Amino acid sequence: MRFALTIFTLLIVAKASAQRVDTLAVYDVPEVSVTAQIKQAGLIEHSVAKTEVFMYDAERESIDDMRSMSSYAPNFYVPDYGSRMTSSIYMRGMGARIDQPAVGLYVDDAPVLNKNAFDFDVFDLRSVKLLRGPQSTLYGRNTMAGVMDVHTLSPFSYSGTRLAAEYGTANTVKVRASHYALVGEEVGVSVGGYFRHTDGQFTNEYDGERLDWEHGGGGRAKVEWRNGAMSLSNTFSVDATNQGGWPYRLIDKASGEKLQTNYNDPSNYTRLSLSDALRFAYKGDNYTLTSVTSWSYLDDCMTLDQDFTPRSMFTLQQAQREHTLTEEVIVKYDPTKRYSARFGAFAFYKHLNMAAPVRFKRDGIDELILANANKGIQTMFPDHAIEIEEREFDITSDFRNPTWGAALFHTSEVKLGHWSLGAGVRFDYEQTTLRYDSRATIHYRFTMTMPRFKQLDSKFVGSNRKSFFEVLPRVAVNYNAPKFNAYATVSKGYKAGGFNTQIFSDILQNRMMTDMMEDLGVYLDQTGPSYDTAEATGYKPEHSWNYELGASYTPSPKFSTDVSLFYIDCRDQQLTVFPAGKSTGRMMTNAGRTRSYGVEATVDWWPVKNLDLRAAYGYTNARFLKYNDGNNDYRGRYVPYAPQHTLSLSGDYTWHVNRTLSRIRLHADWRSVGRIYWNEANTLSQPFYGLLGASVAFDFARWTIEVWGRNLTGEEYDTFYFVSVGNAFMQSGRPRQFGVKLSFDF
Amino acid sequence: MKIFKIFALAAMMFGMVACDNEQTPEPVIDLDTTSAYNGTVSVVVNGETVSTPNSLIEIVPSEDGKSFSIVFKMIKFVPQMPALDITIPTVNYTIEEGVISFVAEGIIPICMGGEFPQYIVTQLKGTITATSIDLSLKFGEFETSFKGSLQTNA
Repeated sequence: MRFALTIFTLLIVAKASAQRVDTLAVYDVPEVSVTAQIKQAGLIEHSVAKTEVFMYDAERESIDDMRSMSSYAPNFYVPDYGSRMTSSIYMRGMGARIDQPAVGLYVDDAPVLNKNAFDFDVFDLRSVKLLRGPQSTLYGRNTMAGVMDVHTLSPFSYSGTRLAAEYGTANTVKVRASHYALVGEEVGVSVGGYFRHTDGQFTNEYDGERLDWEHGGGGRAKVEWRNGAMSLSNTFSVDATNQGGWPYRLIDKASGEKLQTNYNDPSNYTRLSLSDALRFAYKGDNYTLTSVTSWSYLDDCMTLDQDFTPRSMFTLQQAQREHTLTEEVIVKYDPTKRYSARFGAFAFYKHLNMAAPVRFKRDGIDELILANANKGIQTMFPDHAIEIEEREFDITSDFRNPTWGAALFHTSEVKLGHWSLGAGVRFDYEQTTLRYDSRATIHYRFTMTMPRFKQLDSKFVGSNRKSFFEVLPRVAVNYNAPKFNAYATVSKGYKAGGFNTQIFSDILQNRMMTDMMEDLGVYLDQTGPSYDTAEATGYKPEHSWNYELGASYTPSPKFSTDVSLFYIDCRDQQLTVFPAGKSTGRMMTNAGRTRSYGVEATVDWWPVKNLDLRAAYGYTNARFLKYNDGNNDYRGRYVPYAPQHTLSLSGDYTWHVNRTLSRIRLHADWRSVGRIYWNEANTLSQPFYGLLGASVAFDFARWTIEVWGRNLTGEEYDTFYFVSVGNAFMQSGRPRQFGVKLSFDF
Repeated sequence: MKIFKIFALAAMMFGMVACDNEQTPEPVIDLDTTSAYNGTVSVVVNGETVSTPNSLIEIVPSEDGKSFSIVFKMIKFVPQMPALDITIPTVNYTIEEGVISFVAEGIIPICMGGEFPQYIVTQLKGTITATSIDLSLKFGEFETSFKGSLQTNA
C-alpha cells in the first residue's frame, strides 16, 4: 500500500503541461447517438450523477469491459470472480449476484437484458456513460441502481484502420483489427474483430493445471446511412468465449486458513452471443423520432464441480438458450424553447430454455442424501441403512421461461431562466412464466427388509406465473449556470421479480427423500428445508425510492468537480441466500427493507501543462432495516457484497518529444474498494484495499508501444465468498500482471 | 374383483328407519374398497400405556375378498423412533350379524419396504361394525390396541 502511494505521489508531482490530446480525430463529431441524446438530454443530463469516459481516457485507463470500470466511477463495483457468466454489479449498496441485475447495460442504444452477456470485450469504445442512481423512468426494468450506456466508434467519426496486439502475464494475448470507411457521403461502414487467449494465473492443486484459462473472440459490423434529417444504422455483434475459472479456495473450518484451490471435476464455461440492432432517427421541425429494434441470442453452458473439493460429490451443467427482441420508440417534442417533452414506448419479449442437470456422485449420494435419510432410521435400527445402487445419478431440471413486457413513458421539462423543472413517469408491465420439469430416478433398498433394490421416481413438475405492474415517477429541479450546476431529484427504481431456478435440484433432492420415506412408510420429524412449493421458487420485485442532491462546478477548463449525496429507501431487496444445512442450491430472497445513504465526489484537475489528475471517491452506508431469514435477525447489519468505500486516483503526464517520437505518456492509477462484508451476519469481510496500475506509452506517428502493469504491489485480497454444502469458499483477487501492447492507427 | 357386501345390519336398520324419511340410512360395511378409521392407538411401552389420539388405520380388502390387510399409519412405539406405516397382511375374518370378527396369530407384518419379523403380530383379535373398529394385538413385544370410528371410504 505504501509503495503504491509513493509511486502515485511521484507521478502526480512530476513536471507537467498541457491538456489531454486525443490520438484519434474522433472528437470532432460531438453526438454519440440521437437516441441516447434524447434519453439523456434535459432531465437526465443535468440532474443525475454520472461518470463519462471517452475513447482516449478509456484506452489510457484500460477500460474495455464493464469490470474495468469498477471503482473508476464512485460507488461502482464489479468484482472479478468466477467466470464471464458471473457479472455481479454493485452500485450504492445495491446489486445482485444472480438473476436480475441492478444496473442496466445498453450498447449502441440496444439493451442487454441477460446479465450472463454483460462481460465481453468492447473494442473501439467511443464512450461509456455510467448514470448512477435509479434510471427506471426512462430505462425501465433492472436499472434501479444505474445504467451503463456504451457507444462504439462510428465510421462517421473515424476513418481508417486500427490494429493492436498485446502480450502479458500468463501468456495472455489480445489481438484486434478494425476498419472504418465512408462509402460516398451518406454511407459509412465498419468491420472489426478480436481474439484473446490466456493460460490463466490460478492453479488447481488437484491436477496442477491452470484454472482460469480462456480463449475467445468476436467481431462487429456496422453500416450507417445519413441523409439530412434521416439516419439509419445497423450493428451486428458476435462474441464467443471458452474458458475455465472459479479458482475457489476452501476455508479450513478449524484454522480459518484459505487452502489452495483443489477440486476434481472439470469446470468450464462456453458462450456464444449474437446481437443485432437497427436504429432509425428522423428530425422534424420541432420534434425528433427515434426507433431502436434489437435482437439478441445467447447460447451458453456452464460445467461446474459444485462442491469445489477433491471429493466426488456433485456437478452442475447449466445450458441456456435465449432469444430476446426489443423495440423502443421515442418522440422528443420541442414546441417552444421553454418547454420540451418526450414520449416513449418500449416492449420486449424473451424466451429462455434452460437445462440444468445436477449429477450426484458417490460421495454426494452418501453425504448429502443417505446420511440425512439414515440419520432418523438408525436411531431405531442402528445396524441397518438405506442404500442407493447407483454410483452416480442425475437430477434433471428443464425450464422454459418466456417473459414479455411493455411500457409507456413520458417526461416534461419547463425552463425558467437558469432553473428547470422536470417530471416524468413510466408505466411498466411485465409477465414471466416458468415451466419446470425436474426429475430423478434411483434404485434403493433398506437393508433390513429389502433384499433387492427398488426403483424410485421423483419429479417436481409444474408452472408458475408472475406479473408486475409498476408506476415509476421521477421529479427533478435543476439550476444550471455556465460554471455551476445543481439539482435535486426524487425517483423510483424497480427491479423485476423472477424465479429461483438454482434451487430446483435442492427441492428435488428434498422431494426424493420424502418420496423414499413415504415409499418405506417412514415419517421423519423434519426432513429438511421446507421450500418444496412452487411459490418458494419465485421472488418478488425490488423497489426503491432515491432522494438525491448534486452539484458540479467547472470554474475553468483546467478544473472540474462534482458531488452528489443520496439516500435510498429500498424495500423487498433481492438478496442471494444459501439454504441452511448441507443444501446444494442458492436462492434469491426479498430481504425486507434496507436503506442506503452516501456521497460521491469526482475531481478532474489539469494543474499544469501535460499533467492530468483525477480522483473519484464514493461512500455507501447500506444496512438492513428489516431482515429476518427465519433463522436470524439481521436488522442493523451491513448489506453484504457491496463495498462501503471506492476510491480511484489517477495521474497522467505527457512529454512531447520530437517529430519521430511524438510523445511519451506516463500513467498511474490506484483503484481501491472496501470494506466488503461477505455475509448477512457481517462476521466475515474484506478490508479496504488498493491496486496500483501503471503504464508508459511511446507514441510515434502511426503506432504506439505501451508497457503496463496491474496490481504492481502484489496486493492480496479476496473478491468473493460463498458457502456450498456447509463449506465456505473464497476467491482471491488477481495477482501482479505485466504486459506490452503495440497498436497502429492508419 | 369379486365384490361382496354385508347387508345384514343394514337391512335390519333399514327396516327400523324406513318409516322416518328424514333420517339418513345407517351405513353398511363396505369391504369392496379401503376403509379408514380414526381413533386412538395405545401402546404399552416399559409398562406404561402411551395413547395417541387422531391416529389412523386402514382396512384394505384383498383381491378375492376373503381377507383384508390392516395398515397402521404413522405409528410410533417409542417417542424417539420415526413414525412408521405397518401393514398386517392377510387377516381372515368371519361375519356374524353384521359384525366382522377376526383373530390371527404369527403374522409377519410389512414395514419399511419388506417383511419385518421384529414386529411379528401375535394375539390379534378385533371387531368391525358398520361405523367402528376395535382391535388389540402385540407387535413383537409391544402391546397395542386401537379404537376408532369410520372416517371415509377411500
